[in-house]
Amino acid sequence: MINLLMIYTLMGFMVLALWLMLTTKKLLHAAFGLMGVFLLQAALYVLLGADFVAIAQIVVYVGGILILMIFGIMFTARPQTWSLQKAHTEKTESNQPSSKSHQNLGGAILGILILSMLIRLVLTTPLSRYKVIESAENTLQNGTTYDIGLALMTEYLLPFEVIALVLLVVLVGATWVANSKNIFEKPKS
Amino acid sequence: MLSNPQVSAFGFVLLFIIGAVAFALIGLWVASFIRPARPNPEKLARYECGEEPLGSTWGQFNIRFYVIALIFILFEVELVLLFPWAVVYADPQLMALSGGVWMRFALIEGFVFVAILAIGLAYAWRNGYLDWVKPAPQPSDFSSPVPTHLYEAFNQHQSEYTVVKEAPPSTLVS
Repeated sequence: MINLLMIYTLMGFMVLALWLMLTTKKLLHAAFGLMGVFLLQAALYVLLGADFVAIAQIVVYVGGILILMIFGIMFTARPQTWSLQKAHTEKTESNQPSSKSHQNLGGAILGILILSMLIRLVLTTPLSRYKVIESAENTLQNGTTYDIGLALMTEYLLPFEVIALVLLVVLVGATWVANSKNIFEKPKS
Repeated sequence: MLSNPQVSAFGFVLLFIIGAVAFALIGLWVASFIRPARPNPEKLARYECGEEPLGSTWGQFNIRFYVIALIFILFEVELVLLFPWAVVYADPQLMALSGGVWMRFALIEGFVFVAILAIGLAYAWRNGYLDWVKPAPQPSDFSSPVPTHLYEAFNQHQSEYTVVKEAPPSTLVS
């Protein structure tokens, strides 16, 4: 009961952080709002008994991806008076006057599609088929990291090594793309 | 109160978070009562590690940080996945079950996992994506009317001077 209450309280804070992220005029404040969402998400994972996912969430999302986003904001120099709203109105005024409503309509359709997809996924997932949830009492005692490690080393060994290959491909591709020489300069034949 | 042991284990983490925030906030709050508030332009200036701050704080960062951050994230994902591996590696129960094969097996699998990503690091290193962009010094197109051999002769002449012993103070006064 208390657990459920905490989960709903966290969700309320998450909605607040999301609201800050979506309505703020400063890009960096939006990034901080996103950080709040990520941290609260990690707390939610802890309450749901997924401790490894919670740690991974903090390490990868808060410590990595968010830093990359803030870097991206810092790379693009802009005057101090710049704000998201101003840039948006300037952009829409230079284009057709109706492009703003078009963008809103497209965003709304995309959001509704993703939301309906997620709801369908939650409703159609046969939760009882997963061993992890069946043995939830056991994993809550010892944490999930051991079980994940055992599964990675036995049943999911090939996916484990494939992850390394996927990361290798991403590393090569991302560094190649991020190196502006490859994009802005013609390759020497 | 909480039936979930996982949550109570993370309760310590929560206590640490609350403690860290409270420590900083209470310190600042108490200090606000006893410190004098006399701001001047010098104090209100942006912090710039011993230098006079120049220009806006919103300066552009070197794009090279982005590649470093990308590589960092990929190795971070690798690190997260190595945690469960490290927990089961050399687990005494599994070692006894497999007769000692488990540790060798887990070691090889871990090395393969790390080695595959090391190839990626080697690729980035070999192609110079890790190299820092240095400003290329631009040679000046100024051409002096004075020929260089005159400069050389002057330098030669200068080097012939020897440092004499410091004159006594009496001669300086007159």
